[in-house]
Amino acid sequence: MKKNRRSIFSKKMTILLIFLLIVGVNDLAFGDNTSSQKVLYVASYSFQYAWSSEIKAGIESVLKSRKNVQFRPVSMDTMGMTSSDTVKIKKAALGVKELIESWKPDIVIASDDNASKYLIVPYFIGSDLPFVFCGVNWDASKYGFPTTNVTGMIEVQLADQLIKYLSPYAKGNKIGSIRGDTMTNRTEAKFFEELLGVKIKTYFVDNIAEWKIKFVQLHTEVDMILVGDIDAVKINDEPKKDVEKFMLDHTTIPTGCWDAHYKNNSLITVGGIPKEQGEYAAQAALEILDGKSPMDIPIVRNKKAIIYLNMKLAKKLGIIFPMDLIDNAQLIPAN
Amino acid sequence: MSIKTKLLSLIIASLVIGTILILVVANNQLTLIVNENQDILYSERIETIIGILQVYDDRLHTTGQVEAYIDGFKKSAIKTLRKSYYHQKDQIIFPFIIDHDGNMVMRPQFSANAPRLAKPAEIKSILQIDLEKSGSFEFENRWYIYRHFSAWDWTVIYTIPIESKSANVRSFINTLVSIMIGITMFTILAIWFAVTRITRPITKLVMRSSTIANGDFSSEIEVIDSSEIGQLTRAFNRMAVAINKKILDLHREVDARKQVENDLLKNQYYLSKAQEIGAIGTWELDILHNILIWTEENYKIFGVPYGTEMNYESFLDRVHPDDRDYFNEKWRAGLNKVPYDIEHRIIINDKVKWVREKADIEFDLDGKPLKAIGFTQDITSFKLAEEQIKASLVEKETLLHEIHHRVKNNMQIIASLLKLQLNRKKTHVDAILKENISRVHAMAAIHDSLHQSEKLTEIGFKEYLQKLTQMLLQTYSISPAKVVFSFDCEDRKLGFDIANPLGLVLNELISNSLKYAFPDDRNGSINIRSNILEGENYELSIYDDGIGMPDGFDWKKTDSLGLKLVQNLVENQLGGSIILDGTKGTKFTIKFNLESNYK
Repeated sequence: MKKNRRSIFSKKMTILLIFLLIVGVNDLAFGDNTSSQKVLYVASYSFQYAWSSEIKAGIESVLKSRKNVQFRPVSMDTMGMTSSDTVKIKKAALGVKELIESWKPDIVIASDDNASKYLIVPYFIGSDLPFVFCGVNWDASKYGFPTTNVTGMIEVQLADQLIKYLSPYAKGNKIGSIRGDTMTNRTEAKFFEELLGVKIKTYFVDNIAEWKIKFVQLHTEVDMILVGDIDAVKINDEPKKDVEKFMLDHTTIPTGCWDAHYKNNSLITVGGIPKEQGEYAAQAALEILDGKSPMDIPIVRNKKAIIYLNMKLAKKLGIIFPMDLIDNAQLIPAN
Repeated sequence: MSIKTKLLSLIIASLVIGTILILVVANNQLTLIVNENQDILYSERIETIIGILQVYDDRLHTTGQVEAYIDGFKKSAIKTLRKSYYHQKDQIIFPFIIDHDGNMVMRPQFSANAPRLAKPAEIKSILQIDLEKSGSFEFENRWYIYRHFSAWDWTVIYTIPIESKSANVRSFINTLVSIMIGITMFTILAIWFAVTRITRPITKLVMRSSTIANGDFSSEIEVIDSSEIGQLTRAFNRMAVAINKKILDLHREVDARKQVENDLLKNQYYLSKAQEIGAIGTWELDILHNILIWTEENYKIFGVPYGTEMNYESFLDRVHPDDRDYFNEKWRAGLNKVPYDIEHRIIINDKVKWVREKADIEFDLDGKPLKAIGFTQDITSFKLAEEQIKASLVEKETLLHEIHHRVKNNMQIIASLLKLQLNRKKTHVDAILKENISRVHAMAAIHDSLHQSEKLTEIGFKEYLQKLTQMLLQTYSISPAKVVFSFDCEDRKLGFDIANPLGLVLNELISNSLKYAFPDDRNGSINIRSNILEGENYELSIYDDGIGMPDGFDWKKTDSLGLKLVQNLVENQLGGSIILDGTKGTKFTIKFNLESNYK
């Protein structure tokens, strides 16, 4: 009887030891994973700005799938700063640099041009610290990207798709455009022409009065209009709604834009999705943290967009959209 | 049937009945619940579909061109619904939509399982439902639930085969049955194991009880554990040991009791026999209730049939009428704690019998008599014998008186004859004759005393002395005034064996004093004294104040017949001694033991 009891006890102890060994080995094998990996997100603009906050949301949605990742967002808060504010921008970049040196992240995600231009390029090109950029307009080569430690996603406006949606309702194929007179808009207009392979009659205006004149004028010169960033011009004291009303009242040909902010002014809007930028940047960051070299991750363009159909303008212009388009679009109510 | 079988049967029956009840109740309840849940579930599903249609309708209205877009939106909605709800082949649970005109605007792409659905008009005519309302119904083994989407005047219907509707219930019931059977089997096995574990020691206890019942206390049951059964086993073993010891003690006690009983029976037999032989019966009187209980012998003594109920009065009726007052007096005295032991007569069939009654009476603390236990002895024969003995004794006494009287008379005749031989001249022979006459008189006096005494065997010594001295004074013709006798003696009664030799000794010694102590007509006195010394030693002295013995006289060596006779009688007959003191007068002191002579 005693022998049996001893045997049962020995078996129990053996099972317990095996269990403890398994648990112990498991802990040893995955011990590295338990250590925290630091991801720093540097936004060029304030998180009050929807673009930056949605990129941040995209990053977080990906990172939350990975345990033991320490995420820290920081903003350079350079929204609205121009070349005259270079000192401020650089100062903001320097602050972030000091933060990087003190917090010692394992990787940095940087959104929009200022972060790349004033942080990555002057301080971290070729360093051991990997960077993933996003939101850089049209071309990253202007910053020397990609490098051994930098890769990312550039932001392009899906102008080709926009033209595809507008064309069925245009009487011809002449394309016009109206924009604020900024360096970015001029660069962007150039990239539009390169992308579409056609000449676009573009007016760069400084104020709302000029905007109204050129907008009406374009109706007589082209078959469809690409409406640019209205916030880039001086609106003076004129309410924004009045501008919108003016545009609705004076639109007689298909209009389109690529910024969801102006979906109420154009017939069709093909808006970029900032979250796509964040999601891609976060996914690339995790691959780099897992051991992949930034050089092995090519720089890509954004591909997703949200289509907005302005049913008020459609009704006014007598346009009936096909159900395929309607099913995949958000409708701006006619009433 | 064993406890185990009973217990298992009971448990199995309970489990089976419980299982069936649970299944029946569960089936009913689950069917109700499922029906309710099915209503809710499929209502929600239809609401979801209607919600989707509503979204499309809302989007349709945002276009501002409803007429232009409505067909497209409806198609788009149907397309979306089909993707969501018709993704399985041979689907038996599905929604479908009928428009206001009864046209099937959405239906699954099959007809084998629901051919009638291909003809919506037929459905409408058969079902006879108001599609503009909501509700549910069953039709041909299918259950239908429907809601109306008023915006497009469509009715969304979900249809489920009734079998499928309760399929989950049946599946659950089947699972429940399997689980219940499993639990039941497991429970039965567990209970069987537990009951076996419990009943095995009980079975052993039963077997052990049988062996104990057969008188075998030699083995013990093994105590398996410290459970209640183990404790019971241990207690049983202790009980078996204790019972064994008790039985052995009981056997010894029974043997002892048997011995006592045998002794008692023997004693009872002896007592009965003793009572029978001794004609003694016992009785007990309950004084308070006046109940008299007799033994068989008592009934015999009183000549009453055995078993007759008796009491004090019925007893008293059997007492001789002349003795009843005496009896009552003694009984009342007995009730006052005077010892009760009486003899009285009883009358049996006109015959008189004598009985002795003796009893102990018991009293309570207040002295009140409770009961009496006594015996009755038939002493009739004793009484008769006593009377006969008394008569015989009287006769013998008379005869003995007569003998003593005749001996005395004969001796007096002898003495008279001897006296006639005396000469006128006093010669030596005359002296001898006188002496012998005196001796005969002495003996005659003893017989006379015996004759005159109440008891014929002893005489009063003092009276005899007086008679003897008077006779001797007469014999030797001496005036009582000349020689004065004085007696300092106790009036001791002496038996014939002592009185006869002692009388002769006194006769010789007094005769010597009368003859020789007072010569020349001298006056004198003779004192006779007797004392009882310690140890029944009798001392008798005869003292005369006469001239005394001559000097150098050794009386034991003299040729005097009288003194030799004295010496012989004292030493040989009485076993005593005699001393002569002749210093002043003559004094003979005789000592002997009375007891040894009586023996």
